[in-house]
Amino acid sequence: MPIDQLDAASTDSLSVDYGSGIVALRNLKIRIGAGSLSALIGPNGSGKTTLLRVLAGLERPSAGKTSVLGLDPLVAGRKIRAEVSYLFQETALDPEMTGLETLTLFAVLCGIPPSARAGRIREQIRRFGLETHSGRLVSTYSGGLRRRLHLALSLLRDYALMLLDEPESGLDPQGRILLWEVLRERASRGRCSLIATHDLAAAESYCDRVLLLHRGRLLAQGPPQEIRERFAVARMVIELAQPLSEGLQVETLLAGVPGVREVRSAGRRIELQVPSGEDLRAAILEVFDRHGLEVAALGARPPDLPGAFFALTGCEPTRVEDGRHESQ
Amino acid sequence: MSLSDLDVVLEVGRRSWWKVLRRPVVLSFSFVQPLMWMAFFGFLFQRFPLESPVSGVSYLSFLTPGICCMTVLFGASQSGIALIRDMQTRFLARMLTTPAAPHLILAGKVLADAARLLAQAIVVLFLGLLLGASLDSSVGACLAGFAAVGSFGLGFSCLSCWIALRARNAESMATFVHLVNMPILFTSTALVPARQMPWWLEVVSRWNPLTLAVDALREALLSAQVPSPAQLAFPAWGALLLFWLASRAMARAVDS
Repeated sequence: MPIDQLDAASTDSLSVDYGSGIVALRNLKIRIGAGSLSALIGPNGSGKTTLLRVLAGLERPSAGKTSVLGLDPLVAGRKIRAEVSYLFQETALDPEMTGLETLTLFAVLCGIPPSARAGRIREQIRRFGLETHSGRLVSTYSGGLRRRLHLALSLLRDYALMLLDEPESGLDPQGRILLWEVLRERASRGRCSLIATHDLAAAESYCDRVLLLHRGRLLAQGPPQEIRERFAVARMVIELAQPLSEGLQVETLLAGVPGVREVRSAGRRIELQVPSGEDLRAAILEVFDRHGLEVAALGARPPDLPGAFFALTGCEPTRVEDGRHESQ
Repeated sequence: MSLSDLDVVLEVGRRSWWKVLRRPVVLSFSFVQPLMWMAFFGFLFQRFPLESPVSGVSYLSFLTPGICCMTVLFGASQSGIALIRDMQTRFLARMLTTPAAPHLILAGKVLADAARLLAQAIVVLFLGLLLGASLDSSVGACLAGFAAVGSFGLGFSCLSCWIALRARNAESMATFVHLVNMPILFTSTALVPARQMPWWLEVVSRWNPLTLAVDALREALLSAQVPSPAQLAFPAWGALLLFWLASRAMARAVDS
């Protein structure tokens, strides 16, 4: 079967056990469709990097099968390296080389033929806005510039599959948009990318598929809309016309409405969760009506990928006194 | 080996050279040390009576090929230090995730180092001549002598890289450099002819790889003698074996 009909990557019963009770991945069954742009999301330490390393052939699984472009990444080392690029989380650059020297070295290592080399390097320099910096030593680069060069290096060759480990950290907003657009453009040419990311909003709008890992287990995989609709909860924000009177517990008031969860109130503002796909607005308004409370505004926030993420991983952001949100 | 393989070797080699040339202070210091050895030892042992087959040769002339080889030994033993730095920045791991084969990346690095050390040894030879050493050589003998020294440098550079790739930290590497350089130098014929050593040291020196390189170069420079096939083949085979060992370690360094 030709490669374009196969999954770009898949695993079956994949486990990585570091011994002494540390299990990085448990019984993972994933599929990355050919030509797709997929996001790998999950809290810190959920096994994202380990999964990418297994797919790149850098990590030996303790059990299970892995197939990348129809090959076993541990056996087909050189073939895998010719078709699969693995972008480290840290910007692995040599501070004592200039940007141009680094690009030239990697163009050669990536096997770009001499006639195409200069053109390909110029293209990356232009694309990542490195024109005025390419002649300078990397040690003089800012963090964001290093990130750009780091990315440019792995795009010198048109890899069939790119595995990217949190490439957006340290990039400015323009850089992030550029990164996602580059990956989208690759997908339009049938080039597959799997990106481990914490940018849930971007994953939702740019990716074809999302894989959610938590504690080494796959909690969900599928198109972002599907995950959002299946798992996310909608939030509702209610503004009362006047503050609640003393002794009136809004939690107990709303307890009678089935489906309502996580009610929080502060002054005139009440926030709560409702199951997505159900319209509870009439039932809620009725409760307030019955107690003679006038509702000034009622807004609903549609379910989104971050909502699904928090619902599935149980890592709900907690509210702190000053109203900021922090993760648990 | 294809053309693109050769490109990899050359480009990795070019990187090693650039990095050395960007540190002119380190490079110039690498000439000061041999110069001091030749000046201090050369004049200190000016009246040291050399026995046959090198009788009639001044001690400085006798010493100069030895110091050329010492320069190569000291330089080659530090070859792996750059790899430690590349492992710490993960740059090496990144190079190893490209389609280029690990042994080509290693070849570029050690060939560039060996070539640089040979060039340094030739500069040291001229410094020796400036100090007053005199030679009696031919072009052919000179080339063959330096070829033996080059193989020695290549092998030692591979050994240093192998240890760096296995140890993966700068402290172990420094221990290796200090532990190996001095004993190898003092148990070789770089400073004293084998005949004038205590018997046990003479035995040790015969098995010392530096002795092979020193003797080959000395005979070539002082009496225009082309090194024997064994003098050329032994360091070459040693270099090949060590290259193979270091290549295997290099392939594994991708998960460093």
